[in-house]
Amino acid sequence: MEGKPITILLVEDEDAHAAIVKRNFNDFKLANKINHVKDGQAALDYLYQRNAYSEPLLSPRPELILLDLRLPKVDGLEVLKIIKTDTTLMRIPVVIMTTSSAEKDITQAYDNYANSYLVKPLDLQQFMPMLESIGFYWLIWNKSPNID
Amino acid sequence: MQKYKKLYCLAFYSLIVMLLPPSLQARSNIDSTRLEPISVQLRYLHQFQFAGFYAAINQGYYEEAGLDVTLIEAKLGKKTVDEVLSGKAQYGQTQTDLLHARLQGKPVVALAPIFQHSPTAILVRADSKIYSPHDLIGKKVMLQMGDNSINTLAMLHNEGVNLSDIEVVEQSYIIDELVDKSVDAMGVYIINRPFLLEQAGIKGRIINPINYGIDFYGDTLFTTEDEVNNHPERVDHFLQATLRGWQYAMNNTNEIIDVIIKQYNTQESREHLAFEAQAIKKLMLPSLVEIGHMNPGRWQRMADVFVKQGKVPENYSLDGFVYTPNKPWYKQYWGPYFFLSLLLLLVATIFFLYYWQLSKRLQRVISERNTAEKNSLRLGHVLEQSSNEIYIFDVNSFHFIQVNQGGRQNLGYSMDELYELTPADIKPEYTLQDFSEFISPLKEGEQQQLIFETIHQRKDGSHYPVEVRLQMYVVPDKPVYYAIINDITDRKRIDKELVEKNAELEQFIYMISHDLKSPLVTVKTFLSYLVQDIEKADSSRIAEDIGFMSTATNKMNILLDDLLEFSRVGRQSKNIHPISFKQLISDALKLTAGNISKNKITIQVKDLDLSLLGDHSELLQIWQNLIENSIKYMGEQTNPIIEIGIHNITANPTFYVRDNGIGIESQYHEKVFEIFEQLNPEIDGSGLGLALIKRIVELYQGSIHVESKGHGQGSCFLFTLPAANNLPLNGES
Repeated sequence: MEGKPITILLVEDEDAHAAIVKRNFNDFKLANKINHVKDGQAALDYLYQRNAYSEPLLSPRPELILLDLRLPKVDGLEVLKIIKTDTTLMRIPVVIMTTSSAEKDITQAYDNYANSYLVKPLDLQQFMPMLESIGFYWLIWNKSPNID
Repeated sequence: MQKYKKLYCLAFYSLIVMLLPPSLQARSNIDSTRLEPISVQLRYLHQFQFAGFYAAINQGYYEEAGLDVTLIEAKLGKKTVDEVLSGKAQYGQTQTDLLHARLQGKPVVALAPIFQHSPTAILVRADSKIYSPHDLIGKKVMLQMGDNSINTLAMLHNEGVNLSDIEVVEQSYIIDELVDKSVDAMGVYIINRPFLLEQAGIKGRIINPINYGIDFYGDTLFTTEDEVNNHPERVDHFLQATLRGWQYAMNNTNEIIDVIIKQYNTQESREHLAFEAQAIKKLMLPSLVEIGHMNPGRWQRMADVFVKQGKVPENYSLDGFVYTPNKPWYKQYWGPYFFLSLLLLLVATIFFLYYWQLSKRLQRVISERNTAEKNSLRLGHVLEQSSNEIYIFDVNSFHFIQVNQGGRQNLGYSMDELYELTPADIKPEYTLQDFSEFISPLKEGEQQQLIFETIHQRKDGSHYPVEVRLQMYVVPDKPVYYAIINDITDRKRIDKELVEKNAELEQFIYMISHDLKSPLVTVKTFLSYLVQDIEKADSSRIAEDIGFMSTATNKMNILLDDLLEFSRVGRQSKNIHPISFKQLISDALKLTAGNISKNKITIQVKDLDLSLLGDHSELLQIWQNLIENSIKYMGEQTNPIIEIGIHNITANPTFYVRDNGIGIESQYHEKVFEIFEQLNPEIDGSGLGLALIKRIVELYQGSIHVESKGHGQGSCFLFTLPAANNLPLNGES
């Protein structure tokens, strides 16, 4: 059941939240490579390998995107819409991971073809198993599409 | 009302039953064959002095009263009173001697004075020097010393003329003695002697006791106590008939003169009789005094004169002298007219009460109707002038019948134009067919009222939203539909605003919940890590955990502070004062002085000469936040400069805060002012700063925008505050 090393794009404006994700994935030795960007604009720049991310080696195509909704500059839903309407990006699984459990956010996310929607738990005792599950499910069990 | 009516009818009829029979009885049986014969003793020969008797006989008044009256002329040497007392006659007409007889105890009864004043006076020649009783002193005066001259004697006595001072000549009643001056004065009956003097061609003058305070009754109709006691009805009938006769005689003197001449064999000429008639009229005063009117007090005063003259003792009694009709009280004064009067009065009262009730009820009805009319008139005016639109339209054709002022004004049609239109013509959402179907539940009575919202189209083509309340006014002759229209443009606008505000509020809460929850997740999670890391004594991880937690709590702190600020804007009670712009900037710089000096920022301030009117703390927040923003986003600038100033200071001042910091890319120029929007997560802030400034600027009816050529090009925030700098310095808020 050993997965091949894959690349995750983490779009998260909170450094602390990003640190939690990274720590967990590292602890479970699941994440081979987590690339962290802090706003929606940076996420799009990364995916399209432009501006600060124009060097392809530094911005490899991710196999999974963990996307927060509340983001500076370009918000997460906007990023999701762009990804899911771009034929070159739409197959990348996008997992929404946010603090919001608002009905509106959930429906809008699925309406725009989010692959999963997760609410960040307040408690680490729940956060850790959730992140672990994400790791197992998406990185090991899930058969990813060919995204190249 | 009905019960009153019955009551009145009952009262009315019972009154007729009660009153009519006796009054009919009284007049019922006049029978000439059963006339009672009676006699009247005259004081003299037939002449106008007794006109009332002749008239009563000739007019049949006595006959009506059941009497057959015989008149007896006076005979020489026989006294009238004695003749009656002796029973030769039952009634008589005589003078003051009647009173004397009574005072002497004779049972005579005065029925009615015929002459209100005594005809006895003193006659002198007009060419004589005798003008008053006093002038008679030393003169030859023909006087009768009997009872009938007592008023004359009393006059002389009262005027201080003693009989001894004058030469009294025995009375002969012969006028010639005055004519040939054998006497200077003569006691006479003024009803005939002055005539005789005039016939002799000599003018006379009368000295009348009336003018000297002696006013006696003249000829008086009388009878005896026996007659009054035994034949009370006859007395009454005789009296009434005689007085009627006198009334007739006074109104028809010539006719009575003819009667006297033709029927009573008088010696007197027509002229003489006519003179008598005139003189008697003056004594009777029939137009002033009711014929036969008798005042017991006057008899009393006359009696006192007798006492004064020493003719009778002082302790006289007049009891029984003055006739009191011996008949029921109700007949005493009004006689046969009593019942009629009473009846009329009652009928009048009944009618009055009836009509009073009726009129009261009518008044109430009228007043109610007036009030109702006034109210409905007022309601009509109110409805006509109401700004609500009110339509009345035909049930069949749907054509407008009436549209009030509010409707005509809003629609822009005149009434003449509306007569040609139907509601469907002003409702673009309905055809006439649709409308007819829509309204049918009202017509069928299935519904009382239709309430719906639709659009109305004005004459000029513009639309407005309305709420319509449609009802049918059911009157038998011509039912109509009526509609009360409420223009809901304002309501719609407010609804829309409310929806927007609600969405804004929802967004606000959503943002807050996210932005507050996010640091909380951090704190709680790293707290758990911290516990683990302390167990493992992993010092680098411990430092990292604490760092994240510290950052999160700072973030929360800032957010909460800014939220508080934000909620205060526009909600706090304002303290409006004139504020010098110079002072305001100076205050803002003081508050930010620490960061300014720490970051070695150069501040340039331009165009400071302006006074603003507003709340100091609100205005201060604008500049303070903008300066802090500029400092925060200065980036790697080695020569940081913040410039504060005013463009267009006189006409439309525009304030600006410019920096040479990192700048803002054009796509974010609007987004930066949105609530909780933060371009750079690296920099501490809640994302509320610019939203707060925008909110204050809008409170002062201004606008704000940012100019920046892009990253690294610096930014310039420009804004206006019309409500703050357009107000006069000393104005009120």
